Amino acid sequence: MSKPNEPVEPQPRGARVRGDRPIDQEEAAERFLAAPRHQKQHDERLWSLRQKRDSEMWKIPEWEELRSLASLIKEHTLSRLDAYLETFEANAKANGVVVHWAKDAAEHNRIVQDILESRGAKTLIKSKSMLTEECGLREHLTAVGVDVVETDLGERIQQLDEEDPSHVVVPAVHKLRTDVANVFAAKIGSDPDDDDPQHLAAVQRMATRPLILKAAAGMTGANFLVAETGAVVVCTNEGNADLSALVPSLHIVSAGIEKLVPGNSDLAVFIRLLTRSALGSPITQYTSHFRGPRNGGEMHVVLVDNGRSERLGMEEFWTSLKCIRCGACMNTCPVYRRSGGLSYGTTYSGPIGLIIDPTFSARKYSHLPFASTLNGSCTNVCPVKINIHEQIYAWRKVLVRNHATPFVKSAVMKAAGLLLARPALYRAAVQGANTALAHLPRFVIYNGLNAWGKHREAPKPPGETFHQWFKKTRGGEK
Amino acid sequence: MRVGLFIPCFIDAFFPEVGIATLELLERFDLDVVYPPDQTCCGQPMANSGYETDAAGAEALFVKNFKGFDYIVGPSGSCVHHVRDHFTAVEQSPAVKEIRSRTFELVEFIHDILKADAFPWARFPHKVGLHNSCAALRSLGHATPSEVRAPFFSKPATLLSKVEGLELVEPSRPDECCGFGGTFSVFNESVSAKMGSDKVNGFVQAKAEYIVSADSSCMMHQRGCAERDNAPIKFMHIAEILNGATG
Amino acid sequence: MSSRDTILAAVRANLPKPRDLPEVPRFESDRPASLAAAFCEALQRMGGRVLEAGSPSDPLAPVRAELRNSRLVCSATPEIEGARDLAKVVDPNTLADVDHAVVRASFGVAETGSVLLADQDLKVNALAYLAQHLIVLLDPGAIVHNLHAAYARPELRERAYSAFHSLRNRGYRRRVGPGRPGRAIAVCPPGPKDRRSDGRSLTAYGLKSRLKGRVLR
Repeated sequence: MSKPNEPVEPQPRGARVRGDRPIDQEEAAERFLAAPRHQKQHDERLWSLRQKRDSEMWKIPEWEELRSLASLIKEHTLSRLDAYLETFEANAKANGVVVHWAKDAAEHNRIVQDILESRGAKTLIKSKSMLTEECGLREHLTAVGVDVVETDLGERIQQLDEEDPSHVVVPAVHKLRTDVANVFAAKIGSDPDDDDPQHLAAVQRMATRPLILKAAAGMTGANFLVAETGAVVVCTNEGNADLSALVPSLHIVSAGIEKLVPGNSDLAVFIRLLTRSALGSPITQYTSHFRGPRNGGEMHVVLVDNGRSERLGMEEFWTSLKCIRCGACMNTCPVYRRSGGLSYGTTYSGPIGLIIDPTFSARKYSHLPFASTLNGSCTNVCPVKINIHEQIYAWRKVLVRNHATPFVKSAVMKAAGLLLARPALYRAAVQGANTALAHLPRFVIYNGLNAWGKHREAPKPPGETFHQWFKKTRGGEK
Repeated sequence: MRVGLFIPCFIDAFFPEVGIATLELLERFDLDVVYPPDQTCCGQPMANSGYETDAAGAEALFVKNFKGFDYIVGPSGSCVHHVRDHFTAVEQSPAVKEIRSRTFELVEFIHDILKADAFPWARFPHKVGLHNSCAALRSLGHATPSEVRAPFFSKPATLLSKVEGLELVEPSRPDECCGFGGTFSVFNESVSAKMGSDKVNGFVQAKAEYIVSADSSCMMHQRGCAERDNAPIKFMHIAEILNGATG
Repeated sequence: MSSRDTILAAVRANLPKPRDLPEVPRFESDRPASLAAAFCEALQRMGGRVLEAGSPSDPLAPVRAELRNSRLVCSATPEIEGARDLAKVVDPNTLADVDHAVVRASFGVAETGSVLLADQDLKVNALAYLAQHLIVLLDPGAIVHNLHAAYARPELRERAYSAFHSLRNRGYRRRVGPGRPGRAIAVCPPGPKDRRSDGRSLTAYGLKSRLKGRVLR
């Protein structure tokens, strides 16, 4: 229970999105850091998931072998993706599933709308799907009069708060319990002062259950599609995907074309890695395999491209399609933990976001690959061995070549490059700068224009450079 | 063994004592160490920000300065990582490939090539927090990263274990990035500073008196945060300790 | 050109260089001597509830005891009597008032303490998610070592619906979502008259004393 007089820290909101203008992640991160309770909890919650992941990793002697297998299976599958898509479609159809193909987000949304309208379905319950976020499905359906209810607790909180999910696995991880209590109080009418998580979850469950029971249709995403059996695999901790799929008589699945795995023996590798990487648990509470409609029901699968086939052809970046959306990269990323997922201003945040978002919009997401220290921890935790930090580095080169970086930065880099190629000029500049730094008053060095000096002291210039020392003591050239 | 001494630009400008310690340390092993005086920079600052063409001039100059050595050794993990793994703004002639493959960071050179197992002149009776830069840790393989399932080893810790009186202490987050990240420290300043502050605080909590690293760039950033936070901790490059500095 | 054709053509045009599918090993080297014991241990480590074994003459007595005060029992297995005839259910949401559901799992997985519930086990799939409490009967002889063995089982290839039900690590803050009923597992083999019509034979009666479960919550 929150103490009545405890000052509540307002929730920092995400990046400012203005049309196609480049998202300023640093500005949003700065606001997140200016909310220290939120930032601290966010950092500690996700670091704890990283530690739990490590703990599970140490229990599995074959852990690194599993990662290699997962990577090789996905690379093989992507190298024959057309055949696997056709096999999946044929097997799914044989099981009574209707298969649709959507080139892009708009077509996906229209197909789902058409399916619902043809059945007169005005209410849709759904479990968490990053793809439906990517396509903006909820907004589209709401605009055409379909009532959409998220059944995943974190997604429901975000839906009620009219805010995007901030993390692929734990969508409301950036919220304090007081934030959640406020959302529920405003939208469901619960007690704003009772922020006990068990109570809040029970409130949500009781509010959602009647909606589940009378919904006309249910929608799920897919963690995996199995070509050999035509199965859709969904992993949840709440069983809400199963409720969404099994209670209404219409089940619609949204799946990206990259979700294919060849067969069940391959699937086993991913199921062993997914939840250990994501949450540090051996497996989700519900790992469900849907191969056909329930008795008396109908099942549709919408296969979505939306830029994936194009990304498949990018030599440096196609392996990002191996991603199984576990979020381990986000949990380990020190930048993500201190910035909050909403600071990236888009569906996919954190390290994986940095390498796939520029393919959705090079201009809008052109600054994201610079929101990284290239430390490489993400690459090491990725269960499918995507070389994330190397792709971030590669994207920087692409963006600079395409003139997608700020003019001032380019000018500074050009000047630096020229200076560092000329020893005599460089020496003069360094000596001059050191003299300046040693003698300028503090207010000249530490002001709004000097970003370094906002929270740090600048290094003190030494009496002489190494070059000067060497010349003096060792007589110059040896 | 003829060794070319590579003094990174920021060490030349801000931390000459690290360059001096490196030179003296290598000379203790009776190596023929040469300092090419016209060197400036390896090109990393431009390349890491994606400005590969702007790194070409510096890279070409590096190649010109370091032809003909058995080994090129420098006291900076990030710079050596750049030379070995990213040095592609210049044409990859056989000479360039040769130089790239012969460039070593100081700790790995002492550990792997010289295989030194004693530093009788060294004494450092203090509690030390070891910071491995992410480049040294994950790209050069200085130690086992905590997120990888592999037997534990650490080259810098092994070397420091030979220094009399030195006690290593470990923070609760053993290898979280300190947030320097080159131009990240300027363009993403608020996150960078928070990461640095947290890093320093972790070492303070572990009761370290000194933060020791093979990378002065990280330390420059951490020291900046420590001084602003008034954190009671000092900094020293591993070269200085191995060369006999007593703190 | 349909979207299907457009997408497949785009994929074909952009395929990376071909590479082989690796062979996935079974990772059997750490297979425990008793799978049933390993299963119960994994389950209890994660805060799971194993019902105490009944006597050889009445193995299901503890299950019936568990159900004694239930508001409404719905059983998908002939071993236990329930108040609803699942064969007559057309609309799953009529099961929303079920207090206790009783089902027999297809098999269990020792690695994760999971049970597999398939459509033939549930009769109405949504039962497992609508009931307030779920009691799962599990044959100790129908437990496989790990997920590699589990995914080799025919149910995962043949059934229209199947789901692994598992628990998270103990100590993780429990969040109660809409589909998370309380759950207990009774480890006991099916009786002779409950042999499945698919001809699967009765496994040896193998209740060992160390399977005497502790009721933890």
